[in-house]
Amino acid sequence: MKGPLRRLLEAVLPPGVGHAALADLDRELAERRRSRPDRGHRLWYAVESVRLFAHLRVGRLFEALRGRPRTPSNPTPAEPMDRFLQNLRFAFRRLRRSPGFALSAVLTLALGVGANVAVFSVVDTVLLEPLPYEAPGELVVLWEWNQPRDRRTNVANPGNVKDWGERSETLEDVAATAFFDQPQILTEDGEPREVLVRLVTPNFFDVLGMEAALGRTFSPGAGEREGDEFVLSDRYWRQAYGADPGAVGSTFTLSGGATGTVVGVLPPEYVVWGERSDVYATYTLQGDQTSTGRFLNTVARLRDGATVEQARAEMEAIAAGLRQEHPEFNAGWSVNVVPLEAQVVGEVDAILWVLLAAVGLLLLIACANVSNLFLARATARRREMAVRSSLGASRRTLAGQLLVESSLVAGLGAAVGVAVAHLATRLVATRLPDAFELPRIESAAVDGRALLFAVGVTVLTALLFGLVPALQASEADPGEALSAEGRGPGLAAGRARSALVVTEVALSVLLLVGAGLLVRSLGSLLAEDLGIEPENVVTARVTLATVAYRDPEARVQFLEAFADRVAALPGVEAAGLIPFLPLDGLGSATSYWAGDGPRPAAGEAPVTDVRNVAGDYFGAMGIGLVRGRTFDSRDRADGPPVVVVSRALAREVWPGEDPLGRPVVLSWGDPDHVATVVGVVEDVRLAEVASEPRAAVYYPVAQFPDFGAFHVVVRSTRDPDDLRRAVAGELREVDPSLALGDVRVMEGIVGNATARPRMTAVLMGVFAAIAAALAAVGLYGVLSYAVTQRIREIGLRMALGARPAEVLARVVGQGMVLVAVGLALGLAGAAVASRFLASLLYGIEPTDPLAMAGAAGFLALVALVTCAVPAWRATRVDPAEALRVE
Amino acid sequence: MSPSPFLGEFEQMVLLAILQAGDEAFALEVRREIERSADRDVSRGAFYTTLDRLERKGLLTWSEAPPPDDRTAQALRRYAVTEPGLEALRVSREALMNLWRDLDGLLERA
Repeated sequence: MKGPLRRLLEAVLPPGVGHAALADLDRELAERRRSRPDRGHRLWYAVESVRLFAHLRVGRLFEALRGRPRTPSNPTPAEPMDRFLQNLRFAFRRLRRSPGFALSAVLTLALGVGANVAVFSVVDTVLLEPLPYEAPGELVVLWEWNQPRDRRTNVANPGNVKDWGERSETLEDVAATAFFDQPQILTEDGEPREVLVRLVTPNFFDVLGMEAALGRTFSPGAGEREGDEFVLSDRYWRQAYGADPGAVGSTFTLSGGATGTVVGVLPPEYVVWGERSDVYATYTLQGDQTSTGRFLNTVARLRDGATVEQARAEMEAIAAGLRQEHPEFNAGWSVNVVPLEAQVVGEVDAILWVLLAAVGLLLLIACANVSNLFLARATARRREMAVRSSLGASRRTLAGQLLVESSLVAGLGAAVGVAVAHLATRLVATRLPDAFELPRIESAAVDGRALLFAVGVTVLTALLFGLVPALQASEADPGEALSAEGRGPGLAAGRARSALVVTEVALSVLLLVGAGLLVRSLGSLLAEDLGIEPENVVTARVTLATVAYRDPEARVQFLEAFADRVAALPGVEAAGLIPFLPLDGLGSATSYWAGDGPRPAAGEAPVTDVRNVAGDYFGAMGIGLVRGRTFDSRDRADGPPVVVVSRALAREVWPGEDPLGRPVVLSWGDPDHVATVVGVVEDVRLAEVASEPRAAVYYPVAQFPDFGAFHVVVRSTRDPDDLRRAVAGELREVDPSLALGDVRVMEGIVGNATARPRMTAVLMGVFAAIAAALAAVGLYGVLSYAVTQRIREIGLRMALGARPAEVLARVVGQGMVLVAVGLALGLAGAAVASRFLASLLYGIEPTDPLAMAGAAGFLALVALVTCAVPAWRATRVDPAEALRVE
Repeated sequence: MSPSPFLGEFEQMVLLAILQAGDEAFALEVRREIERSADRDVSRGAFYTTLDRLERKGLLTWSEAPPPDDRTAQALRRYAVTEPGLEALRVSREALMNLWRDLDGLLERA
């Protein structure tokens, strides 16, 4: 028997008796084979060898851990495994005797490992893992680029997208999707319910290289002929069809009347746009640049061998041609080509790298702290080591014992750290997505490499510094070490520990400054006047997708009737409707100019957000009226065109003049629509909190009845749930075929808009607090040890008449010198490093003096308190007692 | 040399079996001897652990010899009881004999 099992056994069994036992086992096997030729000998051998192993190896391990010596004292030279077990037992005993040391070292390591692995795993999932598409590196996103206003990521016009695809040589294929979902109403069992439909070009999934999980994706000609095709999302298929494979091939009818066949179900993985959509329907690029606006997200696949740079150069040339062909529409517009991978992570990239850097620093601090703890212990054990070495323990024996002890600490720390990492990653993956909107975060799991790295670093640190006492013991003359007891630490170790404390303080300052900057930035973000009063506002979406509402008049009638009924509900202060809520991600915009001024050149007209509203939207949302009036019954479809404009628009166009009664020209819907300004309202942050208020124009819905879905906005102090039921009841009264969807409170929408900066600030704050705590522990260790070592000196001074205040000042001073050096280094580092935070900051400079001073002050305060404890102990020294210590 | 240590029951059995097996005191034979004489199963692990312990105590020793059933095979450990081992057996036996004295009638099987 010389198979792998046998070789493994030879390796794991103790060399002496174990190998003898193996040889006997072989003999027995041979015997068994002779007597019983075919009776499961392999199994017998395997079972017997495992039993042997259990007895000879594991049994001894347990014996050793129980602390029962297997052999009488002074045994014959032990084999390495035995020595290891003995050392392990010894290490356990020693650590049990100094629980403070063991606990702080283990916790420090665990925090360092845990935070690092969790954040790295998230960064890895979100930023580094390839997208779940075929050859994702070949995919690029095409944006229209408005050069005069430097808007690089504008959605595209269908005519332009069509021309890009037809004229490009570097792009294999171009696909597009509308940048919003179209809600539809489906009636199931008499209950109308909302379904989100996403329009995509038939080649959309082919370009991405996504296969259907069931059935197929769209055929190339889909959408061009009768019998449209539909593809279901995995979620909707499970929800609406109970994951029935029979869904494929069934007929699907949209509330708008379109009927088609379900041809496939998508895999559950992330789709770059439309990840919340239920159903995908085909859209054919049609029309030209003049008949529609810009509303497409565009993705393309590079031809084999083509680079992004080549595509950029080519698209710029094509865009130049399109500018000449359609100057009225394309003047000032170019094309921006962005690799899809960069696009997907673009927005969160900076945040995640900053967090990764932060936990990296935390790991360094943790390592410094553990080193510090080990060094302190090493100093404290100088005498013990000296005694043992003078009693004949070899340098190897001592080193072995210390190595085992530090491995034990490192191992425990790493184990707890892995648990922390696992928990933290689960927490991030399951709790974060709604607020943080990290792509692919649901699939985050602890990353093996990160684990290996963080555990490796910490274990190495522990092992390295765990060995110091052994080196000290072997280098120092035992006699000297013995007699030097009570006279201060080894000079080198003392210096090393001071250097570590300085490092810890400096790194903590770096983290604290980062956290301070993010908190200050968040403060200025939250202090921004949003222009609305989100408290006590509930919103819900109503989709007008049924055939009846193809008639604009029917839409207007419904919207106004519904607004009136909801406004009349008890406890409701005001109610109105609007197609896009503020801070909710979507919106519409168009170019405009003053009707009584010169017409700007094509492509140079300024842009304004535009919204059409019904009912008392301004009252419901809490938008203050500055001048004039809002809409009322005078503003009919056949009445004179009117608009309400925002303060920013009025200021831009008619600075210092009265805007009321002035004409404004807008090219929304019909080109050169001229309307009269009847009112001015406060600026509202429509797109994001962190932006200057933009110009905005509001239309009465009667004069602009576009859009098939509106959000009803209700201001009321009633309980949101109760209110929802009441509003749904009114909707049934007005039109039982419609359904209420996406019910939210406005405060939640506003909260989500600031979720990322809030989360980033909170996480950085937590990391910084841990860092400061670790630095404090390190400082405390160094100082309290120094005091213990100098008890005699302090006692002498006090006996000679030193006042306690002087002693206090001396000890605190000693600590604060280290802190001051660390602070200076940290602030210098922060001044450089904070530049990397610049893109995350709002309303403050990266060198914000308050954040710098705050961080330094906070750490100095923590340090002062930390120093005060050992210093106070020093003043309680009884001179008589202290002098007797020798 | 410290006084001979007391032997456990199984230790005694192992030492006695080695003596019984004589020239053929290889592990397998010793184990079979115990199983045959004492009519009990011997755990392989416990057996080797005991051999190891007795060796460490200096009560047995071994030399390498080819096994009895295959004189051409790889040499195996052939065990022998050392002088301290014999002494320990004597001490144990004496102690037990003293304790057994006059108890034969009491313990006779019916």
